[in-house]
Amino acid sequence: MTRDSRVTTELAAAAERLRGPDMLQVLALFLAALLFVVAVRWPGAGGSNEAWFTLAQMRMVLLALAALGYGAAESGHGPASRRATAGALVMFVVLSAPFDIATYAASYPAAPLWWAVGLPFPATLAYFGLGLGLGRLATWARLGALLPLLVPAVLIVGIWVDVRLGVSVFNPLTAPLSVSVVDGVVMTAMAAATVAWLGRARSGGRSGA
Amino acid sequence: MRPPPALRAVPGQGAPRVIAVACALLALLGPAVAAAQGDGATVELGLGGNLVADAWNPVRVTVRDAAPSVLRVRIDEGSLLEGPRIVRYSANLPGGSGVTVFDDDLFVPTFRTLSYTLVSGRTVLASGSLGAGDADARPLDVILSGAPGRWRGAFGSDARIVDVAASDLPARAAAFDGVRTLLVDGSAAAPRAESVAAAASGGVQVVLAGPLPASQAQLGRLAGRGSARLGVGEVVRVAANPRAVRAAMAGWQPIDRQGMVQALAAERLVQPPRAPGQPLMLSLAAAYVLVTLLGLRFGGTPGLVAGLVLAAVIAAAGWRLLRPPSAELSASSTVLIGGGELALALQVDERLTLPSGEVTLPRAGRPLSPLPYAVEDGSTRVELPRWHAVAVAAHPELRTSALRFEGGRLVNTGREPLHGVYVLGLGRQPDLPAGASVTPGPGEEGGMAPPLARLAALLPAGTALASAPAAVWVALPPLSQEGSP
Repeated sequence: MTRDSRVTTELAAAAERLRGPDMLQVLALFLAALLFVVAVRWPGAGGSNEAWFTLAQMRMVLLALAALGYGAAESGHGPASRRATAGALVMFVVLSAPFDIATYAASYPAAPLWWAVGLPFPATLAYFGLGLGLGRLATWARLGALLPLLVPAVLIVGIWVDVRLGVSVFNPLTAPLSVSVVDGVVMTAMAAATVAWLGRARSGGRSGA
Repeated sequence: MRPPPALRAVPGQGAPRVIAVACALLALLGPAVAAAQGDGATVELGLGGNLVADAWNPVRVTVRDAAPSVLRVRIDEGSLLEGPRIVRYSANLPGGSGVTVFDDDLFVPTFRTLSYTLVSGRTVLASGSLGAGDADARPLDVILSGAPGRWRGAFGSDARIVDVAASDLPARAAAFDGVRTLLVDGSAAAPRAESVAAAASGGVQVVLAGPLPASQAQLGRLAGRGSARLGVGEVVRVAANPRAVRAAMAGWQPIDRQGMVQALAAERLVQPPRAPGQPLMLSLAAAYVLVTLLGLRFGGTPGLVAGLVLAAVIAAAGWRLLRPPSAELSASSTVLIGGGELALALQVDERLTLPSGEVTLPRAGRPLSPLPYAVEDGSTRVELPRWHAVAVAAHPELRTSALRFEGGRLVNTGREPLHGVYVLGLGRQPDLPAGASVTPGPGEEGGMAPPLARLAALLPAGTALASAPAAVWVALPPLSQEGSP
């Protein structure tokens, strides 16, 4: 399979996954939440524009929750489904980027644009991988029924760890607001591991086919 | 009167023991130290070592045979209630063989502590400190006389009278910000005429008491036929007795320069960028969400691709429409107050920063709001939060007057046309093209623009105001016409 045809296939799989009612509803809720933030935080005449800060935090939290949740839910599914879901989550990032970029432009934060736009990609894949691991762990421990609680709990634990250590790595509320080398390295490494995992599953699936 | 010893430098040779011995000697010798510093480094803050709080003060550093050095001044202008608020000043001094003299001006606020060091590499050449008790905001009355005690009776009991050598007088108007009167009686060494002109232009009343010797005839010419305006101040000739000096001082109505600066900064000069209204933003965002979701639901892969393209287009358009042109927006307002040929330029620079960070203004100045700041080699740096502006009063400078009274006529000697000409007490006058003149006459009164009206409230009757493209020109009336337009 050529590279182009592989991309087309992955895109088609992601599009198909996004058409699913669950995914479409989650995406609709996600975009509606961002719309709500714009409605609440967009300034009146002459005021300072702080819309990006709230929007970036809200976007990152929702992306992390969605990625963790779908990752945990996908742990019991096949590799093709996982890849399609991961691709769909990446589309969440892309389709919500105009909100981020527009509010960033108007707010003029000190954080660089490449960080604001770039971080959600590895972070979403990283949280998806974390969700996959969480789902496996829950299945192994026969705690699958507790996944709806475990998903936000993992996020809360991540925030708690960050606050305790005084760093910004797993806290989606602080991560997008300023450049953190540790955050970037950890998220990129986790995202790479997730992609490798998904890729290995593809190779395994093909050789097994 | 000699300056307090704390304001004169402590010469150091580098080794702590030498510094300790020098400090001990300083304590023992007291006032004699200032005279004993000739072969070291000298730092002098204030005119003749006399600081005036809430005013620009001259800084003079003299070093001999020294490597390049750095003068650092640290001023804490905080309070018990709000804690420390630090103002930092630093200047790089060139070194070299022989004597190197560095002159500058520093705005000294009312401080809790002030300390300075002159450092060359690891060697401290001079250092010193002052406490809150030394922050005296009373203006100086400077006497240039061989017998200064003779004139003490001319000044009030609360006056800060200092006698300085003629060579101590700088030739910068800002250096005289904290001086009220300069008395010259001709019995001491002659001051440079440009120093006296700078003092008068900066707002000082220069009193020439009695006949001056031929060597000081140049000073007499500044006074014209008895008294004359020069810049914001005046030069006046009086008889050589304290009573005449006292009478001249009583008749002097100084221009409120601080008030003029405040009037310039009364309105915001820079407006924050205006974002599109909330309804428009919400409508566009909602339309984007709707189109994207419909494309994904019914379009399959083409719908997803279309959604991605739409996202890219919306992001690019949003960036282009919403991004302010630069991270910092700036504007400035200048008033040039002239009497005679010289004018004092008071400028307020306002800078608004959108991201938080340090704002750097290219000129030395002082923020008009209570903020910590630093002046480094002629530039001013202020740390600001997001979407905040700071107004900085720049170091006052002297310029050639473009608007002045000459023989009862109002003349535009500049290269730019002046419009909105207004004479206080007479009313509106015709516009003045470059090189044109007009005899002021009764005109329509009132209707001045708010910035001009604020300035006018601080000026005497008969003053002319006019607007140029980047400044407001003010011509003070000749002394004989003041108050009677």
